[in-house]
Amino acid sequence: MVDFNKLDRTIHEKGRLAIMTLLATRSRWPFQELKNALQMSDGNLVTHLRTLHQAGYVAVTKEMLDRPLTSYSMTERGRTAFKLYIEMLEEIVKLGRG
Amino acid sequence: MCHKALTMNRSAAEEHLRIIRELMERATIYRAVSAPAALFCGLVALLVSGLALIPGPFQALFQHNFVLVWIVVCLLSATANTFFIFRSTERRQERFASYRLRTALLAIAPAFIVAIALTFFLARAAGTELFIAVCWMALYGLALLSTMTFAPRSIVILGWAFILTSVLILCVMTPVLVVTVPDRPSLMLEQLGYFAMAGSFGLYHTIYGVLVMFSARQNEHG
Repeated sequence: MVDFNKLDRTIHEKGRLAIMTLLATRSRWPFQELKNALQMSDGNLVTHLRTLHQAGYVAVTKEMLDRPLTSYSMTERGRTAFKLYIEMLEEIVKLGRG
Repeated sequence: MCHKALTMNRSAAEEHLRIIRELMERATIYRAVSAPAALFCGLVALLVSGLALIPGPFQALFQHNFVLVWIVVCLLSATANTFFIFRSTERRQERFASYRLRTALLAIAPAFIVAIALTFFLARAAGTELFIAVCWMALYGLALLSTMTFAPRSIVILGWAFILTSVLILCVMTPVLVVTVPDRPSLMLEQLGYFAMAGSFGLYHTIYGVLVMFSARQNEHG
């Protein structure tokens, strides 16, 4: 039996789910690449990233190369939460079929 | 009521899993050969082959410097590819030395290293032009296919086209070609080498470049 209250509401929102998915694919994502891949506005993306950062799922790195570069990566806590979230989804799908 | 809630959750869960899968696939796709660079490479290969095969002032020069000519074409094409990838990353405000570029370079490196070694070995013997061309085709195809886990379908098709062409030529080339013109096998094989290069690197790259650029334009307007 699935306890739906266990579904992580921070990740469950589609925009944040997309961000977490991309962050899971490689170690670091510059802001601009995230924005291009997700086709989100700056404001929308910043808001979602801030929420994920506050939840401890996303780490921020600011560098000064030829121009300021802000990159994002998934924390261990974020990776665990994302894995749990996917397992929950799979369980829901399985239960729905059964 | 309980059943309805579960059904809704199931479809939402399936939708979320679909989003995750599609995004993961999209995030890892990388085109190691840019379409405009492929078109440039294809047209240069066709031009060079034309100059070597059609009687004219460059024919002798090109035919007697087969390896050197194609090394220059390869360097020009690599420069064009670097330029077009750089321009595309600049336009998207992304980093040129991205993780995906590094992964692609690491994947294709072994085949390119073997190609360099084979060229160095074979270029010292006479009459090996066609075999060199076939080796280049096979190893270039292998290099493209080594990126297949994160490459778009068009790159995989291009890779297979090179592999199959090289295998086909290897099956039919053996001693027959040398026997055809026994007194001047080298010249004959040089010509055949240019034909092979024109038909593969020239034609395949031109077709790939045009089709990918055309489909990209279609997607932009579609």
